[in-house]
Amino acid sequence: MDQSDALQRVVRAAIRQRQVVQPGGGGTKGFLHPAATDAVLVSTAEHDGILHYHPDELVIRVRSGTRLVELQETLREAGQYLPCEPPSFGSAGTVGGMVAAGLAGPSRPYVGGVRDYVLGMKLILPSGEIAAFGGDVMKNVAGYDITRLNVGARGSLGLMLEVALKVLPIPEVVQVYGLVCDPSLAQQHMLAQRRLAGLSASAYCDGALLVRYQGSEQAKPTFEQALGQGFQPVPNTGLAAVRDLSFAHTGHLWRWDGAVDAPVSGQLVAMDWGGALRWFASDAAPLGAADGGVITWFKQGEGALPGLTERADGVGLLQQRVKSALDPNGAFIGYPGLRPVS
Amino acid sequence: MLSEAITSSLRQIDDLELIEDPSRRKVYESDGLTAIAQIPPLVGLPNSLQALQETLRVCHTHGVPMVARGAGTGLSGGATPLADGLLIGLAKFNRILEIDPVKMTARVEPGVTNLAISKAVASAGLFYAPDPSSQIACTIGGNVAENSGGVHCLKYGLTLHNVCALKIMLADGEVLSLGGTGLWEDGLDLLALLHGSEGLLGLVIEVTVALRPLPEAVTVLMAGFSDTNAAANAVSAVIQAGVLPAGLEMMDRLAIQAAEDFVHAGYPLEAEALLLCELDGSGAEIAALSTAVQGVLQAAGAQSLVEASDAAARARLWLGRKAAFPAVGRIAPDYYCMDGTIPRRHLAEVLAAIADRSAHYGLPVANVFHAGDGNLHPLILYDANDSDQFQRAEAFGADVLAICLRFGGTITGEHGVGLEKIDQMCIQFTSLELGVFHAVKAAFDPSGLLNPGKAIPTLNRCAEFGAMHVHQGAEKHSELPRF
Repeated sequence: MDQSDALQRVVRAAIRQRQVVQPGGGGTKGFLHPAATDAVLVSTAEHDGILHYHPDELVIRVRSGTRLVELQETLREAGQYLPCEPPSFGSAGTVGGMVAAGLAGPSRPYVGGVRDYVLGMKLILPSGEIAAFGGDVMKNVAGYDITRLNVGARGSLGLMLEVALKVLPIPEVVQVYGLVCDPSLAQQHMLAQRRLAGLSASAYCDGALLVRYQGSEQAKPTFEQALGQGFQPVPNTGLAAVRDLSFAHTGHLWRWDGAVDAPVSGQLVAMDWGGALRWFASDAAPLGAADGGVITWFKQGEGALPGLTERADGVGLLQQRVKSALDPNGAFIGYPGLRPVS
Repeated sequence: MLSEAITSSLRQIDDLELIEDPSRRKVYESDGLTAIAQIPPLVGLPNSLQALQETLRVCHTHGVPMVARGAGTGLSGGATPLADGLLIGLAKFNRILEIDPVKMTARVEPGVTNLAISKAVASAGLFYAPDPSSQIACTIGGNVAENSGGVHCLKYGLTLHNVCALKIMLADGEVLSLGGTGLWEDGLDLLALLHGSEGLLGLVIEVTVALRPLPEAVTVLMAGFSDTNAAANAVSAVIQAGVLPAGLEMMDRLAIQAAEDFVHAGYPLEAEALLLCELDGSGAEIAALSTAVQGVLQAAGAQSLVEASDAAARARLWLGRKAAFPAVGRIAPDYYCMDGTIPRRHLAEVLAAIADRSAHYGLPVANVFHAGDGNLHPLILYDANDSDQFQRAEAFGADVLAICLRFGGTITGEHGVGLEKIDQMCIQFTSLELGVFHAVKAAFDPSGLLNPGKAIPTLNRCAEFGAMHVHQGAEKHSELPRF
């Protein structure tokens, strides 16, 4: 149901009372904003509904509070899907939450991330006014790309009301193959298999390398042959543990983003994106494993929050200038961007 | 003009070639939008990053506006010089710095041409997917600035989707690396923001592009249709069938005839509309895929159907499409290339509205269409020596953009706003939205020295423009004073 007016009223009231606005959706990814603040949570959960869907144009526009599962079901009925494969931390997750978090699943290196499938949005700006950027078309270079700037901005630049997405046809065949091995051998396979036609996931967790094929029935045997000995078909749901971060771990969850060929080291609990994304679990920052990549704090474990700091390099400072320019009064919550104190 | 003090400061910089001679400066008077020309007061061609940085610092200190230029193939005036600014040519930065066949990336300088990247990595079995028609000449730095497309966007995306990292230089000479070492960087996505920013936020000084394995098999289908609606419906039918072609292009009768006369591609001259559908994949699947798509095209009413599976035949079919602009240039003294994108379901109405305007202005129009992604390039034929025709062509072009907006589209799909469409930005965006753009600009370039006057109109400019054009019965900038 359209809640635009009500949401705008709430945001404006918060601005008037000088309370910081924290946009929210289904509440499944609140852990991304760990530091307790006195921000007012403004939820889009009731602001839902599919506004239009044209399968033959591969475009769908929805209200931000539309539940991700509802979007996925609608697409599935038309033989299409959302290729960026966002994680699910519960069925209440919304499309707005997906876009604000900008988290993409195992298909990220092969088909792109969330921002690669967002075409346009309407949002309540930090001034309390409503603006629209991008559109419902795939090619659009009028003005700066404010739409994609908001993807992964964690609600720091405004409260999303509508999102237009690019979608794709569901591949004819989707099959996951598994191989039990250690992380080093998994990385060797990951590097050797990078060019396989039809590769759509290459991840490691719970002691097994999981490789996914998607494509035509005719090309599947070629893929299987190229995988080599030892790989067995396994249920496709096996990748969900990597996507949804439900693999076994204790301590805080840290993400490492870096080069696929950087040596595997430390106590990694999972690898995704063909080795470009690695997960570490520990109470202290796994700084010893940082070679070839960047470590960021992701999710709190049992223990107290570790020492964290906002990035303060040139890019970090420019990000802060952009945030200040778009939200001069700090009406919306900041982007945490939390790196371990080294 | 630039003051002698500034010019002499620039002369001190090692590795900076300055072009002061008027006849040599004239070469730079316009980019691909030749209708707008301005001889730059001074041209600087830095040959090292240090020279570039020193150049920017001199300009920044003295408040001299700067325009960056790659190969000058842009179609919207993004690289048109300023009367009081320095034109900075980046074409000397033309080295491929690193090809990494494992990570499937190439790190290149901004002046490397688009096609040179694919050529350099072909022996490693890789290619760079975005392929604007000007790819033989256009540079990758310009591609980033414009977020360039091409005929393979439907499947492989725009420049934005194929760049992993950028090095940029801000107006004051600060160098920043965007994109991180992996596939995700914490904080706001400035890498995305730089794409299509038309040289207003920073100068691109290094690009790391994502490469893809060359497809094992490629085939091109060419289908002729007796009317454009049938061709548009065929496009929908192909996508509804679950197929994602590598390219899906449409041309109308005038474009077909011009291209055929020019390059003899073997196009069906009797057709009202022509579709080119490129399919790629593994050798095992391509035959079945082609058969399936041929069935869809025939069911959609194709009157002729040709398949080109070997490289030479495919190149011949594509040549006509890729040469469509110069081909049209042969049948009229001048043409004005438009670049709107529309939701494809409105194609028939949009083409009818364009035909109506064509009759109104008495100027023919040929339509070339990236049908898969809704990006329409109407080419308005006119004679620039006839000032009345020139004015009619400009008015016709403005009408085309307004038509695209009326049907829920955008004024530019891939050519950029530049100077050409700056007034139409006032129709597409409200003052509030333009204010957001200005805020972004101020965060990157507080002195406003990079490519001022392009891409994003000032609110005053929109107020003046709005006084002449009222959109959908409502003034969009009513809060501003009129002059």
